[in-house]
Amino acid sequence: MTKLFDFLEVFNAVSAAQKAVTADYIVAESLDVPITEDATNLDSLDVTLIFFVLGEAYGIPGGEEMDALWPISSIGALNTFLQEYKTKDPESEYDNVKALVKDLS
Amino acid sequence: MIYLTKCNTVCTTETKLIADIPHPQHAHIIPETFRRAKSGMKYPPHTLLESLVDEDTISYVRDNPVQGKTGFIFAAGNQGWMGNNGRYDKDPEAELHYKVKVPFIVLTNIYAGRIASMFGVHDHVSTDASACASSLKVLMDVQNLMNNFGFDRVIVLTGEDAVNNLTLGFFGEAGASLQYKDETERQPSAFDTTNQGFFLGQGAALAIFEKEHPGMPTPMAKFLGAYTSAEDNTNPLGQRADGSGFSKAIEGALFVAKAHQNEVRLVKTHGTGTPVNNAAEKSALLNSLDEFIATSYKPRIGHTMGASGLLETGLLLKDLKKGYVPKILNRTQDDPVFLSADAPAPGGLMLSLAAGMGNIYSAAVFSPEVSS
Repeated sequence: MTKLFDFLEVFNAVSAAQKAVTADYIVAESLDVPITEDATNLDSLDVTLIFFVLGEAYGIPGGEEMDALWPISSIGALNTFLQEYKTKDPESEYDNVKALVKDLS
Repeated sequence: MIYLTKCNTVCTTETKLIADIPHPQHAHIIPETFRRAKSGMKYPPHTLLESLVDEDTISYVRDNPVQGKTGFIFAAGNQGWMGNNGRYDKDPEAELHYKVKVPFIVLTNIYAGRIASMFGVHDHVSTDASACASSLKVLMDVQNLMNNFGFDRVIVLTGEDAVNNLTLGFFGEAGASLQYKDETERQPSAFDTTNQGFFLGQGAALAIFEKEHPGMPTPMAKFLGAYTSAEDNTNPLGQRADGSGFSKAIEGALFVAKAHQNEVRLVKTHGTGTPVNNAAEKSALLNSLDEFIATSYKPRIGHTMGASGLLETGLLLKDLKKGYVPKILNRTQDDPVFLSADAPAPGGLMLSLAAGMGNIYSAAVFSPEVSS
C-alpha cells in the first residue's frame, strides 16, 4: 500500500514554491497554523495559486460552489477538505512531495 | 553611461506546421512551453518567460546591489493576446489548446509585480503595450529613469502570447504571416521581391541595463539612446511607403544618442518581410543613414512580436561577438546592404528598429564597442 504524504510537508513545499520569493514563506510548524498573512506570510495571490496546485494534485472539482468552500482557518482544515472532496490521491501519481512540486508548481 | 550587461534570450529556429486552423501555417514553436497547458496548470507564455528568470540572474541582481534605484519593466507587446483571448477554446483536443485557470495572474501588470518581487525590485514597476515595438519602446523609459530619476539599474522582461489561435488567424487572414498553401511559391525573408512574409514565433528576452558599478560584468554593449515616433497615417495597421515613422524614430534616437548618421554602420531591422514593411523600412534607412549593412532575424526565428526588438538585438550582439553579421535568410537577389550573405562585423554604432500596430515606430542606438 502506498504511504500517504505528510500533508504538512505537502503544504509547506507547495507554499514555498508558489511564493515569488521562496525565502519569504514562513514555514508552518503544525496543522493548526491558520493560512493567513500573519502566520505564513502568504498573501491572497499566493493562497489562490497554492489552492490551484493542491486542487490539481487532489483532483478537486471546480465551480463557484466548490471554490467558496476552500478553508483558510487552518492547514488541518484544508487537509480535511481535500480528503473529503478529492477524486484522486497524489501518492498514486508522484513518488514523493518533491516530484509533486516540481511537476505542478 | 548606460550599459547593457545581460540579455537572456529564448527562441527557436525550428518550425512546426499548425494545420488544425482556418489558415494553416508553420510557426516557431517550443513544445515544452505547452506542457500541462491543456489542464490550465501552466500558461505557455509564462513558462517561456520564466525560463529566462533563472537563479543566476536573480542572484546577480540581489547579490550586486547598486547605489541608485532599480526598476523593472515588462514589455508585454500586444497585451490583449495574453490570457483567454487566444486559446484554442473551440477544440480542447487541438495541439496548442490551453486553459487559463487563474485569470488574474495573466494580467500583465500583476505578473510584472510578481516577477519584479523575485528580483527584489521596489523602486519602479511598469508594463508596456506598444505592440510589436514594445521591447524597444520601453528603452525610452529605461533612459528616462536612468538619466533623470536616479535609477542605476533597470531590468526589462519582454514576451507575449505570440503563437495562438487568435494571432495565427489574424495574421494568416491578413496575409502577413506566410500560409502553408503559399509555401511552394515563397519562403519567409525580408527586403526581397520574391520571398516575403514571416512565420510567427515564440520568443522572449530578459535584459539588464546598468550604470557602472563594482560588481558589473563585462557589458554586451553601451546603450546610447532610444526614441519612439508615429507618422501621419490614418491607417493604424499600415506603414507609409516613404517610411516616415521609421525615419522620425531614427532621427530621434540619434539625437538622444548624440550620434551622427554616418556613425551607424549596422542595422537590426524590424524586417517582417511584408511588402509594406519592406518598402517603408528600406526607404527610411536609405534616406536616414550613409554606409551600413542590415539584417533581419525574423526569417530565422519567426516574428516574436513584442519581444522581437530586444530579443533580436540580443541575438545580433551575440553574433557580433563571434565576428559576423548573419545574412537575411532566403534572399533571392544578391544584396550587400540588406544582406544576402553573412558579413564581417563592421564596427561603428548599431541601430535597432521595431514597428508596432497602432502607428508605433521605435529605434535604439547601441555601441557594441565597450572597451573605452
